[in-house]
Amino acid sequence: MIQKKICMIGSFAVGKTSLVSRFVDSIFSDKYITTVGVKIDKKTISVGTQDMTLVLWDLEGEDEFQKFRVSYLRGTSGYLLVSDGTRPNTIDVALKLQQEVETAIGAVPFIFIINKHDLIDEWKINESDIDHLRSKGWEVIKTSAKLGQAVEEAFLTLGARMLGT
Amino acid sequence: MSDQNDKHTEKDVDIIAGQESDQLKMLRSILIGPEKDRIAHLQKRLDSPEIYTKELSKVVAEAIMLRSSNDNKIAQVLEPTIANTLKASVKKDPKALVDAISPIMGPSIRKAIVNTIGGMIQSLNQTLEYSFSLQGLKWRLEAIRTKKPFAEIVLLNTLIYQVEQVFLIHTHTGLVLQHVVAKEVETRDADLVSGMLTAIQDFVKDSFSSGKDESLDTLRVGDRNVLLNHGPYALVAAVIRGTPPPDYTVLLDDALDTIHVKMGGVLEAFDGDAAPFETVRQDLEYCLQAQFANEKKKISPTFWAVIGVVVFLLLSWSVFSLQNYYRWSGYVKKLSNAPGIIITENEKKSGRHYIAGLKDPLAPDPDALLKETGLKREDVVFSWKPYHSLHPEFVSLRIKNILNPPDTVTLELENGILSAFGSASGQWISEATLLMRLMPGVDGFDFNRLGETVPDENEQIRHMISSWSESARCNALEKRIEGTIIHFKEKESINIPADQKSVLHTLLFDFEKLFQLARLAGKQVYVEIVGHTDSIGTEKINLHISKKRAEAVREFLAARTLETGGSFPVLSQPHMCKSCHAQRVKTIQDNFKTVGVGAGQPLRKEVLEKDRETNRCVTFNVSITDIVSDKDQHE
Repeated sequence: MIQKKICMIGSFAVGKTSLVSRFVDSIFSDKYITTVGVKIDKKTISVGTQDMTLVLWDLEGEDEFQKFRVSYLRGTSGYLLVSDGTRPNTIDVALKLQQEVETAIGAVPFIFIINKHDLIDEWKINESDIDHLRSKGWEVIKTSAKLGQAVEEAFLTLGARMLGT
Repeated sequence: MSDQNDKHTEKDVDIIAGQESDQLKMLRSILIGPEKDRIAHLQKRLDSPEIYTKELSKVVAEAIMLRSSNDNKIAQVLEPTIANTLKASVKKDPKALVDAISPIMGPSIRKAIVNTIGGMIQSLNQTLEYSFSLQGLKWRLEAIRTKKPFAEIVLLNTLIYQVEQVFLIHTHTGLVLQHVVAKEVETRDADLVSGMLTAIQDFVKDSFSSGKDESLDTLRVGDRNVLLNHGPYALVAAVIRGTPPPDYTVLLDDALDTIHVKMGGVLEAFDGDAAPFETVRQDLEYCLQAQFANEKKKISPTFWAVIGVVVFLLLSWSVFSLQNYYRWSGYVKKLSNAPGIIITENEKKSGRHYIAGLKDPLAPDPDALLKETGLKREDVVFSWKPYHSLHPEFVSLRIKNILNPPDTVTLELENGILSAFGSASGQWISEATLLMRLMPGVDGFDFNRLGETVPDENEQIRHMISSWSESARCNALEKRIEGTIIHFKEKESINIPADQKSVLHTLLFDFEKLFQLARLAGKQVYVEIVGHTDSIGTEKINLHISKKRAEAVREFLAARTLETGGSFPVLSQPHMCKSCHAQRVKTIQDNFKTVGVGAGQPLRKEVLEKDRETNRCVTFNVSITDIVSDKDQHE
């Protein structure tokens, strides 16, 4: 079975950990994220006929006080760039992070996730913002970690991207 | 006209010449055309670097090989170029060269280092801990005995470890390439552990490391150690319970190097497919080493029960033995202190006590003393030889028995001097004076304070009556003398053994008493001294030896009698002149006849040497008859 290292990257409290917590095999406590700066989880998916093990590096959220460790990105085959629809600045942080990641490890497949779709009424971004992101050729998926909405799809899409299909 | 003709002719010649030239050209092209094309082609190949290089590349390897087999010129020519190339390469990117040679150089360097420091002390703490303990002392002795360093002995005795699992992790991605686990070891998801291990390494390196090449090598959690050995593309992580031997890390390095050599290309191009790494599983499984201390076997209750019974029996036996020992010691002490008993041997044979020695007939009975101790009679074997003790109590008793003093006489023995008080008949005083000269334990006597009484008729009657009893005592003495045997241990020897002389002394004393009592009873004593031999040898010689033995005994008795001035057996003929020595000797010869019977009258049937020893002896026959007076003889 093919294994791929992927990272969960995004601003503080956008729901990275929530996105994975309901869908992955985990043995480590969330406290690792705040202590070591990362927690490792695992998810097995099937892309077409190809089974794939995604080793998820759930990185500590970026905010004005805390920057994630670039060394954790080494060897990453893809990443989920997570933002919060209710906080437009998280989109900006995500854009900045995407630049940093690309600088650090080069261009690898990623999915732009706008989380908290269950709070769509409180979203401060509109479709035109999303279209703007899509216009860059990026895959943008709206998810709800709370409802489990489109989370599986996000992993599958990233898996497919990493396999180049 | 001629000019015209000439011109015409020249023109024709030119035409002809031109025709010939074309023909020659044609002929030339026909004849050398192909060669010319070939030459042109060759020229083109020589002039074109591309074609020439291409052509040369086809044969350059063979050419180098051919030349190298002939001489060393190529190596000499290439050496500066290669050296410069390496220098430039190292200057540009040293990591590439390190990555390339590390699989080859790694094991050699590590082995050299391990060999160099192999004898060094591994753990100062352990050494100190064990230096002053009993265990440490034991190990130190072992180190001296085996001529090994003490630290090595400590390590050998304390090393207990088990490698529980080994990870092969791709350095770049942190993904697990292969994972092996020891039997019966519980593990968690290898992918996640591998990832987290990588993350922690990155965390530690980011947080604490100052150099690019520094890395986390060891983790310790409780009694578990995680050893991390890094290679160019992958690392091995061994999770070990306990303390591994110092060279275990070398084993890990060797495994890692082997894997890099085998899978170098695959590792470099790893893209998430760990399937090819199934081939290195064996290399990792070899790293699952373990060394266990010998477990103490649980001892079954039955064993303890048996041990208990054995201990109880041993204790009981010890108590019993101790009790017996003290009883026996007490008994022997009592015997030793008893007058008239001398213990010469005291030992234990076949579970029985064997005690031998000398015993005076008047001494306390050893059997009676034994009963008092509670010891069993059947456990004791006595071997007593008779003797006369000089204990004052016994001497006094013997004096009374022999002298039989009348009631008017009081005897006192003090410091070996016998004093008599009161009054007695002249005959009694005379007999007592003679007897006391031979009495062992009496060094002198004082009868000066003893008054002489005239015997009346009644006393004579009493004397007659007492003579009956003296006759009975004669018989008792006769039996005792006849039961006495003088042994000659050595074959053919006619010399009396030293230990037998004491027996003869006692015998002499018995003869003294016998002759005295016989005389009082009006009897005459004749003694036949009979010599014996064993059955070995001719009858003639045996008869001779036996006769000589009997004569030796008689001579000894006679000599002792004459030396001590004793009266025996002269007293049987009181009228005889005492000072007449020759006459006394003759009397002795008359009363003591010697006879040699050879092997004719053996005391014991000869089966063993011991029986033959018994038969080499002298015995005595006593005959007591009434005295025949000279008058009767004449009649």
